Amino acid sequence: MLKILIVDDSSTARMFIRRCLEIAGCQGADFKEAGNGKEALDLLREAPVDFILADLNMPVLDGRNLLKRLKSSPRTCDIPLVVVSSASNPASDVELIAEGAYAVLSKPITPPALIASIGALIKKQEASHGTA
Amino acid sequence: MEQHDVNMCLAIKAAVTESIENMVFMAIDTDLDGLSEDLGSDAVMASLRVLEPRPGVLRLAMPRSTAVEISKNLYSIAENELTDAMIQDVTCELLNTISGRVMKRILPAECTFHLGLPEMVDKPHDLQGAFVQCSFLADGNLLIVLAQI
Repeated sequence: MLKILIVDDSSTARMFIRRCLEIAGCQGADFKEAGNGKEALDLLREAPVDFILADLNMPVLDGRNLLKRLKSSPRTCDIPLVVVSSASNPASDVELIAEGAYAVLSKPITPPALIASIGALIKKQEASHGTA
Repeated sequence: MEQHDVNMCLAIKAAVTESIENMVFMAIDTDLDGLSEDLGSDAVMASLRVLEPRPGVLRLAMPRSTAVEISKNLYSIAENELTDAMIQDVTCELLNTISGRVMKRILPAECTFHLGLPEMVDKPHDLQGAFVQCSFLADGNLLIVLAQI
């Protein structure tokens, strides 16, 4: 079973991202949610996930610093992180990819945009669980 | 209306249409056809500061009935299942999404921007004159976006 962590300070955004993921083929996944980067790191200490979707603009620990913390730890550096943000644009997207983000998506995301950007990632992670 | 305000209104219109139609599948109409723009006594309003590249403010104001309709559609639940916290979170997240799309449309692609966190504000009727104001109907429900950038 896929394990997916959604990180956003808005419960509405977390619900919407989860619904888009389910439509994009992740129905039946084990979804975990965090309201900011610190909560995400706390959850990841308890159990790893297959990939993360995270907002950039969050209180306490934002998405960019969450990405840095993940990439600096041998335990979490291989977990793909997909940025889902209202504040993305071509210039900042390039920076985030250079810092290690798997992909950057603009809000509001749609299931087709998710499939186009991370469809291969979903299939690869499902295959690693033997569920493809 | 000055060219800056015209461009801002076009950016807001595109951002509202993309956000509302993609998130809640409600059709956006810019022709109010004489309908009142009175927000009513129970209006809700969220505000978001633009921090970079230049300071500004974006606001989303709507009658509570509009916020309820949008929230019902977004969560796919009945009105009696909605809480005030859900309605406020939907209002803030909608403004956050609209604001990002407005900034992307008015700034060059090479220009990064930084937004503050959206927050609910009191005094929905305090719509200052310096704001560019754009009114819409979402499936017949009034909503207003204000920008001061």
